[in-house]
Amino acid sequence: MSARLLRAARMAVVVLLVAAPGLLEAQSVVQRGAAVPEGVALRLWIPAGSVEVRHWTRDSVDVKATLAPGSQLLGNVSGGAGKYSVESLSPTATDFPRADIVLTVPVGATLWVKSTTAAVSVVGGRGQLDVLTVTGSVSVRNATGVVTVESIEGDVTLDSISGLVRVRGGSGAVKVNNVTGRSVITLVRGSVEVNAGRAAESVVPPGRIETVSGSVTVRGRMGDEDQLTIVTHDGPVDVSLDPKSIPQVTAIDPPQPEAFNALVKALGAPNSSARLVIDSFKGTLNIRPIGGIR
Amino acid sequence: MTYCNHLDARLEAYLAGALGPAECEALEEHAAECARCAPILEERTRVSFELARELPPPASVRAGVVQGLGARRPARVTSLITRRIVPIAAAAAVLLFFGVARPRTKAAMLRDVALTNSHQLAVSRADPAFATLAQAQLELRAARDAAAPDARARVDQALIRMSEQEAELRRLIREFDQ
Repeated sequence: MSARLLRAARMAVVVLLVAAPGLLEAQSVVQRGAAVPEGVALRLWIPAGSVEVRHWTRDSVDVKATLAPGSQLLGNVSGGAGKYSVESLSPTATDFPRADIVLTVPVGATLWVKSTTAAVSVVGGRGQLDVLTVTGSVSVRNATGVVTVESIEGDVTLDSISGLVRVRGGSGAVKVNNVTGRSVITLVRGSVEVNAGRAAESVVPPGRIETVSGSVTVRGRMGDEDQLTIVTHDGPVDVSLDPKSIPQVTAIDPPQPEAFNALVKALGAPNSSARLVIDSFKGTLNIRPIGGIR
Repeated sequence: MTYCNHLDARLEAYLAGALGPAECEALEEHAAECARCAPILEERTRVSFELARELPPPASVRAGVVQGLGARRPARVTSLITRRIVPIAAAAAVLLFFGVARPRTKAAMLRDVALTNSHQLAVSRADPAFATLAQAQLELRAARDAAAPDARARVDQALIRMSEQEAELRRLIREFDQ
C-alpha cells in the first residue's frame, strides 16, 4: 500500500470518528400500535414539533413519531387509557424535546394534548378533546363533541364543529367557522373572528365572546331564540348580520350611544327572537347588515 | 401625551430588557413625572416580579451555587474574599434590596431564563396578557371612582371578570410546571 493511500485511509478514519456522533443523532422514526376500546382516553405531551391527530373506525391506536436528535417517545396504551410523551434523552438537554407525530385513534377517543410550541392539528372525532398550549397553533376541524382549547399565545382555528366549543387564552387569535352548537371564548389580548358556515341554514353559534383588548368580528345569521353576548374592555366590536334575521340588539352603556343607536336603527327592526348583547367599556362598536345598510 | 404613547409602545421592550440604557433612562424619567404612566410602570413591574417569584432559579445557577459551596479555597484567597469581596457583595445586596437596581436588569434576568423550560416559556409569554389586564384594571378603577353608584356595579363586575381571567392564566401557567 502506498504512503499516499495510507494517508487517505487515516483521513477517512478520522472523518468517520468526527462525524459518527452526528450520524448517530440523525432523526429516527418510531411507530407503535395497540388494540384499544373505541372510547379510549389518551394523553399526549409534545413540547415541540407537531402533532396531527386523525380518526378512524378501527379499534386501535397508531402512533408514528419522527423524533428529532436527542428526543424519545415514551408511554403506551393499556386497556382503556394511555399516555405518550416526547422527552429528552438527556436530563441536561436545554432544547425542548421535539417530534413530528401522526396519531391515529378511534373516532370515539377522548384526547388530551399538551404542547409547548408544537402545532396541533385534529381532524374528525366525536369524543371529548382538550388541547393545551403555550405558543403552538391549534387547528380542529370536522369534529363533534366538546372541544376545549387553552392557549397562552398560540392561534386557534376551529372549523366545522358540532357541539360545545370553549377557548380560553391570552394573546393568540381565535377563528371560529361553521360551529353548530355553542361557543364560549375568553381571551385577554387575542382577536376573535366568528363566521357562520356557508350553507344557507348555518348560523353564528350562540354563547359568549369575551376579550379585553382584542377585536371581535362576527359575521353571519343568528339563529332564532339564540343569544350571543360580546364583552370587551377596549377591543373593537364589528358585527355583520344577515338582514333576514335581525336580532334584538342591546348595548350596555355604549361609549358613543347616539352613534350606536343610529347603527341599530339602520340595521332595521328585529325580525327574530334572537338576542345580541354587547358590553364594551370603551371599544368602538360597529353593527351592520351583511351587504351594507339598506 | 406623545411620550405617553411612546411608553405604551416601548413598555414591553423595556420590561424584557430590550431597550438601550438611554431609552431606559428617558422612559423612567418620564414615568417619574407623569401621573398617567407612573402607576402603569409600577403595576407592570410588580406583576413581573410576582411572576419572577414563581420561577425556580436556572439549573446552571443552582449547580454553580452547590459547586461553590463545596469548593475549598486556599487561605490567602479566602482571606481576600472575607476582607474585600464579602463587604462589597453585602453592600450590593443592600442596594438591590432597597430597589436601587433598575427594573430593566431584573426584567432582563427574567428574559434570560424564560426559554429554559415550558413553564418559564409560559410565564414569559403570558406576560403581555397580564400587562393588558393590569392596564385595563387601572382604567376601570379610575372610572369606578368617578362613576355614579349604579354604574359602579358594572365596573365591579368587569373587575371581577378580569381577576378571574388572571386566575385562569395563572392556572394555565401552572399546567406547564413540570
